[in-house]
Amino acid sequence: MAAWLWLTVALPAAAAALVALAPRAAVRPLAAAGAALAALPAVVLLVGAAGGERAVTNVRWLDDGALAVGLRLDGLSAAMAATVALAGLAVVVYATGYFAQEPRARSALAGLLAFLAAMQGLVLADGLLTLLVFWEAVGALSARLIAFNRDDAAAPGGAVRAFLTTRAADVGLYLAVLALFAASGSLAFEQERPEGALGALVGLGLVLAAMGKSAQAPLQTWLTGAMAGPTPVSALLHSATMVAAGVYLLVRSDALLAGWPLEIAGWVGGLTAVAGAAIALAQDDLKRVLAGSTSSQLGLMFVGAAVGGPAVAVFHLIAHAAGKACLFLAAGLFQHERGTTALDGLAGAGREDRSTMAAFVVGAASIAAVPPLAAFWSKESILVAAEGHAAWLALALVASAGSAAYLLRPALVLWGRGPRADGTRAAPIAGVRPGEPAASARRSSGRPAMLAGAGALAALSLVLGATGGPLADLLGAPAPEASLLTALLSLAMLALGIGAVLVGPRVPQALCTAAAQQLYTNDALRRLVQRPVLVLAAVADTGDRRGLDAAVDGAARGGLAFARVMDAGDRRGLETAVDGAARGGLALARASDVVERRGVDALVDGLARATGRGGARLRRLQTGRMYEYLRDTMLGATAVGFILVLTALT
Amino acid sequence: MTVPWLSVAVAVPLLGAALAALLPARLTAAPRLIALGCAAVSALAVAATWVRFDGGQGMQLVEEVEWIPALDVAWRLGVDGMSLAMAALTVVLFAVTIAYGVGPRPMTRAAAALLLLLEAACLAFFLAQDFILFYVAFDLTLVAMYFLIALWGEANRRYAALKFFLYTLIGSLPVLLGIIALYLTSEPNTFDMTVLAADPAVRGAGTGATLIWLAFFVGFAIKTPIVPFHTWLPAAHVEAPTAGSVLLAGVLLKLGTYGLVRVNLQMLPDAFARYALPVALLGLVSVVFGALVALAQRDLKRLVAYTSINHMGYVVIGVAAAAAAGGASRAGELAVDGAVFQMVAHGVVTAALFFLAGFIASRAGTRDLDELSGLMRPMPVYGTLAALAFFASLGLPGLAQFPGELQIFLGAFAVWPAVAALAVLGLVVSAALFLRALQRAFLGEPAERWARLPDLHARELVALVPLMVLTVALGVYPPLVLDLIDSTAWLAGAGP
Repeated sequence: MAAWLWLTVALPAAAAALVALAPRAAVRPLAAAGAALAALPAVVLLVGAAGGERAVTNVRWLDDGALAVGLRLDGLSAAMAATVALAGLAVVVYATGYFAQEPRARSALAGLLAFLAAMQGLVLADGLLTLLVFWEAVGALSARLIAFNRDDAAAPGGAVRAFLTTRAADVGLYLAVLALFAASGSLAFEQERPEGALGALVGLGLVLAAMGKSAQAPLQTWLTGAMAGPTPVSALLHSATMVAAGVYLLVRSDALLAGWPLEIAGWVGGLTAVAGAAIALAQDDLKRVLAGSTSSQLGLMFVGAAVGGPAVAVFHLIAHAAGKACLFLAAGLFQHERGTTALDGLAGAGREDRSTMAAFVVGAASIAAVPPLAAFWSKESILVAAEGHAAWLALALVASAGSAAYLLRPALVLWGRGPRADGTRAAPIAGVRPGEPAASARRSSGRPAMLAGAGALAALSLVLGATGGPLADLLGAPAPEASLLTALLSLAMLALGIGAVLVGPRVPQALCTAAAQQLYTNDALRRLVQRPVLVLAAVADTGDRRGLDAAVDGAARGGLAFARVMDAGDRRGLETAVDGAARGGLALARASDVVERRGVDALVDGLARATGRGGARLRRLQTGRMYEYLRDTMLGATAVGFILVLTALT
Repeated sequence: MTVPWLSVAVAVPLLGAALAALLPARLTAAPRLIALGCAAVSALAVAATWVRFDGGQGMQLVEEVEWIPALDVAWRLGVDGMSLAMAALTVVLFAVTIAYGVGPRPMTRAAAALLLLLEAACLAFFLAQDFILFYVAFDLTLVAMYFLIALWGEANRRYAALKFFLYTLIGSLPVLLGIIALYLTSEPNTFDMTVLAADPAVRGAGTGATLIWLAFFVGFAIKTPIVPFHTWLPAAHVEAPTAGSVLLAGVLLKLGTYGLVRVNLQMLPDAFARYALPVALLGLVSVVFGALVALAQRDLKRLVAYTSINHMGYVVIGVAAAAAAGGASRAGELAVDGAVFQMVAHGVVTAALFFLAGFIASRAGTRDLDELSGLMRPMPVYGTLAALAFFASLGLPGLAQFPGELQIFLGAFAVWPAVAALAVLGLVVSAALFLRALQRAFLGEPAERWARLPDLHARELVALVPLMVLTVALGVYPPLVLDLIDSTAWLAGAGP
């Protein structure tokens, strides 16, 4: 099985490389074939896991045995890999049609396939290190794909915001990894959370990272910006798979997160479920409605992970992946016909294109939890699990009503007879130039593939409700329950949501504005994080230039000034001193000369004369008187003795 | 007969430098050929050394020739994992830089001679097992780099070159004092670095040991550079020619951190253990301050220069953590292995980034991120490689800098959790600054005047592509170099 594990990651990667190098005509068939082939090992894994197979395969990576990278096969990873592969297949096939007229189709399709490889690595990862590697890789690929559309001025900003928001939240993942490794020396998923501060860091860090990736409030705004990406990218990355990685992280690390961390995740999820629904209701662009809905539904999965465990959360993850991707793909079909995803521009589009409308309705009905579609059953299992937690149950029910409302609203617009789009309000879209008479030309080439992808996901949304039991078996969890009470509550909420849209009650303007503005989380992040950091950077820069660097230059200038002073001193002081010394020497020489001539010579001559005179005088000493000789001897002896004493003393 | 490959690696570029300088001027093609040839021989010699290298042995393949026997000075070259990794980085970066060239084309005699002299000096530094050779090489790099900046730099090159020269020269003086002090305290007196590392002469952290440690630290901190000794770096990078920046960031900065490990950590372990926390804090300041200042830059080259300060800060934290934990402990080994891996990875990635900054400046006449726009469209190859290098530099897994940084974090967290946790924040600021640069200069609509910029040509690709291949290879399979680094005996002479 180890080989199949590596193949699951390697095949989409190889397909991406092939597509990137293929001749233009071969790009689209190759991409579809690659995605199909790449799904094969994932299916093998799923079948194997269902048959009870388990496997782990590791390669040495960093220089500590505990820091290997590896993949694992178990029920959870097999279920996720199959979901990723099948959603990927449907979306890539769709994308070959969506990008039929796009000159840079190669780049987009290769990007989608590369993403599939990284995503498979993420869900098959054996341990937090491998997960971290692929976690960051999908983030970078996501940014690249969001920035794909060159005609959309919002795309670069959306890509940057998406990457930076998730990267900032990933600090949590890094810290959790550091703390866990410090505490236990291992980065395996199956271990108890350490005690004390390290344990707190692990719990908080993992939940924070999951919140960022899964666009949970207050970090959800990046997902709305990510809608600037091409629609197949939104479908695969920003609804079905990548954003679900946060939920997967909670589920995969449930041993590490047991207790208060999951409690936090549950609250975050419950609140996001409601907030996302409110945001979705206030958007005037279909893709943005769906983005709000994604946050909301991922919030429900957080609640599911907190109260119901892996089987419940993953069940909803799978059902949501099919339904939401289906909605996005339908949105992309409408987008190709109208050149926009703004609701204004889509009025009546569904009535013109009924097959797409059918797919849209199936996806919407599933996400809105209309029985017997897939997400009805998965949401039901979350509600049942949340029965013991009244607050979360209430939040989930409100979100349910919201989901019915925010999906019915665009469905009515699509069916209604609104003004046709003129493209002026539309955000430009990859492969579709606003204002072009798009429909007929595109229907001929890309449409069948697009319909195939959307249709497959619609069909899955119809039947996936039956997978709850087998999935629970696969994960070794008790089968999801249904209870009459929650089913009735759920239906009541569905009715409430539908009724709310049909009646259209007056909502306070402030609430609408707040929801349209992402509940001001965007402003808050900008004011509390982005701006302070930029100001700090500017201050640091100024301090560096005017402070440190100026100080160093000042010191150098000081040194130079000192040198100049020394130089001046050199010239005026030392040099004059030397010159003076020289002059002095010269003068001395002249003086010596004078002394020589007038002094020494004169001295010698004088000495000679003096000696002569002295001799004449000394003659007088020889007086011949005894007492005079004695007196002279005594004087001489005293002088010698004095000299001797002096010598001895020194 | 065994070929003295290490001596060949150092001597061939040195002789090549002399030859290039003495050539008659009319042989216009010869300097470039000589430079390429010598760089290739050097690279082969290092490759041959790698083949002969035995991962289990610590310092080995020592080549020794007496020089001044009375002082026990000798031509001593040898390799352990760290030396070999740094030598490999050096020959790769010099090969691509020489292929790209510096100054007027065809390459002048002076350019060839200076590049080869610099290569010989860098290799001699990393391979030296004798302190006199080590010091001579350390100072020779200054001279060669001074002329590279002063001769072929930009408008303000004289100022920057002089600043670089004086600042780092001031730094090298205490290193000389430290070397003399180590010589005098060793018993018997020796300049043999292998002996001094195997059995550190200076034990404990008393006043004497502290002063010696501090002398080396100041010198290497200026070279690395660690904040607040860094202000020569942005000036030098902004004014240096592309090749100068590449070598300065790719190789010369590593002289500082290599010295920290080779001397401060291996020969003065007790003193370093005592001052490890302050050093780590300086490293942390470098990480955060470097990233923040980089975020505020508009000049791409200046931005990359400050990210170098940020990345070298991680290295300093890693080395300090090893000093505190002991290089033989699990955390210490993770940290110092990660630090040396980061030195290699940063060398490769930052060299690529400086090439990229040079390429755009030579086309557009500006590196101002606010003036440039939409480069991805006229220059898709350039844009793609730039994005790859940016993502590598911000530490994305699967690219070169992630393994080293993660190991540093893991090792340092075990010693000072708060330092490591705060250093992780540097990752977010790095991400922000590179993504902002991408958004401003690369994505979106190009301005009219950039719409026809030509994409990379062959000579530029020859310089850049090997670095990008290494960036991916090191990131995907770090054991390529990590095993080599891991074989280093960090504290051969660690006390009981």
